[in-house]
Amino acid sequence: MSKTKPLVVENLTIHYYTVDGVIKAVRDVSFDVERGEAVCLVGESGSGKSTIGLAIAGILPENARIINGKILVDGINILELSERELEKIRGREVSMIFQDPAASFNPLFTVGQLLSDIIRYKLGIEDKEELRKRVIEALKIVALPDPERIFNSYPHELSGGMLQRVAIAAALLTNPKIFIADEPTTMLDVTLQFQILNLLQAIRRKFNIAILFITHNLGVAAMICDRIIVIYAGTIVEIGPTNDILRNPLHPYTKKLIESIPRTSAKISRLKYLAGSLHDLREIPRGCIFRPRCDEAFEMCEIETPKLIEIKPRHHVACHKYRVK
Amino acid sequence: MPISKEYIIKRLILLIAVVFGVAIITFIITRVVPSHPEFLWAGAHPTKEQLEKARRELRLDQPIYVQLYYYLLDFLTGNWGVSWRTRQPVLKDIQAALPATLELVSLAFIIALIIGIPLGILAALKRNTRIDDLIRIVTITGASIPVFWLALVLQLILSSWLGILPSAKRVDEYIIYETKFKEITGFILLDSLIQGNLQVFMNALKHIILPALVISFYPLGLSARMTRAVMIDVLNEFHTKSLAAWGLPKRVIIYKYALKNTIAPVIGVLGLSFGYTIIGAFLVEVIFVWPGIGYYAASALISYDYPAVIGCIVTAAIIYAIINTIVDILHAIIDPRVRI
Amino acid sequence: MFLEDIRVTFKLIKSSLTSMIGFIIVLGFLLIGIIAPYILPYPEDAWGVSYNIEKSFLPPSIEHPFGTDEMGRDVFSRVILGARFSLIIAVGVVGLALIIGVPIGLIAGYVGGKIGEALMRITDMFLAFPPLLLAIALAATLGRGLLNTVIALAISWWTWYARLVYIQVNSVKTLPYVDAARVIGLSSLTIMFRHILPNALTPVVVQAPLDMGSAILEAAGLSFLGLGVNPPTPEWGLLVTEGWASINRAWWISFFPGLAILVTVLGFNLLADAIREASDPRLRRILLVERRV
Repeated sequence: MSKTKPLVVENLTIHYYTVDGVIKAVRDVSFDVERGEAVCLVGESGSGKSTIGLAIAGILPENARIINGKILVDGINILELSERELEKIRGREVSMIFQDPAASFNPLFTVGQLLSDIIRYKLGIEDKEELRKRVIEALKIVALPDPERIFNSYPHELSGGMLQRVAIAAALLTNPKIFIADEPTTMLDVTLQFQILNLLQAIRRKFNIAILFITHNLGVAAMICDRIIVIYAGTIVEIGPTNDILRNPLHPYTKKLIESIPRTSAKISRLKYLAGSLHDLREIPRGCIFRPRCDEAFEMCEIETPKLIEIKPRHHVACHKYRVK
Repeated sequence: MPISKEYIIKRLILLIAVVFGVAIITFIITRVVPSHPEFLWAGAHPTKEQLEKARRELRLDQPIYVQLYYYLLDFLTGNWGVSWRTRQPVLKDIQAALPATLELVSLAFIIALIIGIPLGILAALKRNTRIDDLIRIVTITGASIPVFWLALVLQLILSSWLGILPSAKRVDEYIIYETKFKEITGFILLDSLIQGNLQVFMNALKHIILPALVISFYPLGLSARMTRAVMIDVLNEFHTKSLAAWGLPKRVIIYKYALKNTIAPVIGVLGLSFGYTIIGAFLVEVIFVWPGIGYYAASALISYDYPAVIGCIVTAAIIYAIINTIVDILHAIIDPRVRI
Repeated sequence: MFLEDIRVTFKLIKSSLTSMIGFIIVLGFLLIGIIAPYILPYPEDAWGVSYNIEKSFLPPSIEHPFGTDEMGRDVFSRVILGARFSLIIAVGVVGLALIIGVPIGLIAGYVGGKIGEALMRITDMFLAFPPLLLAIALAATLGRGLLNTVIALAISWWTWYARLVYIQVNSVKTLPYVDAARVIGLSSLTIMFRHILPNALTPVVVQAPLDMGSAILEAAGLSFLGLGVNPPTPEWGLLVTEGWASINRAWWISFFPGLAILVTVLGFNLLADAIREASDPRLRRILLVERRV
């Protein structure tokens, strides 16, 4: 039984090269996930959260470059692996599901063909009967009714909710240590959201898998995660246990996120929102990158970039308001 | 993959409708557009009696719908007029010339696909590298060459100057007599293989290879560019990412999954590539004295043999429609989303 | 935003050698086509009104870079003037096809529904003919000549543009901002012209100039079959045909006009390829700054 954590990310820095310039999408990000823990990466569009997920899963796009850092999966730095070795890790140690279940499947192959191929190439099993048995079992684990029919179905014949379950089944086929979910419920309606989240919780408990849950929705994060990582414009601004963050948000951005969750309360007040938009990540300014949108900023915020400091046990924040003297 | 019978039936009905449409458009072009159609149908230097006869046969004094009725009747019963040059019924001439063209065009088509599609895949996989640029130049050049000029130049160099390849006809007659070759399907390459007659086979191959290559250039370029574009799109589609995340090896994702997604739309436009081989035949057969429909049509054009020309064009259109139907059905077999 | 597109497109054209070559060729072709009559070394030869039997079949030399033909005419001059005719044909065919096809596509698309579909089915019948074959039938009926050639080709081409426009109008029609315009109370005509038209025209505007290359190729094919322009018009296809009879004796008569076709059409196609790559928004955003080797 290895004592290493399933996932350790150290000083990860990723840039995108585009025709309009170099986008510094992820800058010096560090965190880890324990065995069986569910950690949420929360941020708005463009915050870099998906990029981090893609990097861990080993499927960054062609024009992304990892400038610095380490990603340790079970102690092995996957950034130093060759393409062949990385191929072994994908789907085996790390797996991922995505926001759009329909787009995650090749429309010309049945779901059964795809899942069989995954088992065939990852576990080396060739026997058709055995493959079929295992796939049907996997489909049952994700609570899909009538797995035989689904085995023979093409993706366009299945609904979004069902496809997302199949995606979860596909990702879990080889018992990965780390399961990344990138906005898996964003495109589903609310009832389905609950179902999928419950499913993920059940799977986590049953298989003791580490889950990295990526979302922009703090409410969803609260439902499933033990710890929350708040990420803004490519850097982490706050990390902490879920309850802590929700009750005592330290970073101004986190506070705004919590405030802007629509609540049904007796008082009908104006919807709170966060003014402004994400900074252009081609030019990283001096100082705190959240400063333009922060209403608690002061002179220090323009001069120096705040570092992550542990304020309370396991609760870190990067903000000049909290300086350990 | 099971394909619904309804789709096939629907497609066949469409085929019939298309042939019908071809007939009608041809009617409009040949009877309605010209102010005095009888001049076109009465031969090169018609006498007054011939013109009168043509006018009667075309029923030009009758209203249009009557003309159309008899026209369609003629069309369906194979009465496509008589060639002024050969004095034979046009349809008979065409039947005699058809196998030669079909053999030529089929070979050109196969060459275009066997070389073009893999080139396109290679270019897509090695996008933006020098290989991609090279393939791009070759394929775009192929799509820019006037096919009759290419035929003339290659014939000049390879036949006249270097004497490597023969310059005309399908096969040398003396070999046919000497080896007692018998014609079965009209496809010399096929027939000689069936009879085990290697001499005739090699001889026919030497004759057909140059015109076939020339005709294949344009569809080759087209297929390669199309395949490249489709494959690049497919490789950018999201499911290649998710399949990778779930652990499928890259070669499986490309050569099993992405390939199928690429072949499907490429098959969809194969019909157009085939159309370019047809027009290639029309332009190139004269140069190689290849006794097919193109040669027949070109000779007809020189001698103002209008019925023969129109007959050839209609034949080509019908073949084109049939090929397109087959291609569509193939496409539906591969891509289950198309079966509407 | 349109200017932005042009800027990025130019950037991409310059980035690749092949597209740069295409751009230069097309520019050169347009230039030569326009000023051709003024730069002919042997004008009477070019227009075909001269006859110098003693100078016939001269191989390429300094005085006659492309040699002379069977009538002693300077092939180089004929090819230069041929550029102008190719330009006229290309612009004529594409222009006429647009004039016919775009309004039909617009109307079919805007009216939409069953009528629009029916209209498109009819135009699709034209596409049932293999490329160029319909033009051959028309040209055989109408006879030779520059005008007839342009008409024959344009009639076999317009359906393609009608289709393009129809598909565009259909997809634009359902966009929310059209409904918004209607809600504000703009008349149908205004909506059609001010809002739908520019969007529907974009793919056509991109496609049409680049189709000019194909028009030149098809016109040459028609000339080869004896259906194109009348001699002694120095259209490139006709020049190749005229040189066919004496090709064994004097290869240059057919060779250079055909080469001119090849280079010109190549230029258009290279440019078309570059613009196609440039106008794909996905490709633009993920383009690598460094090129792999």
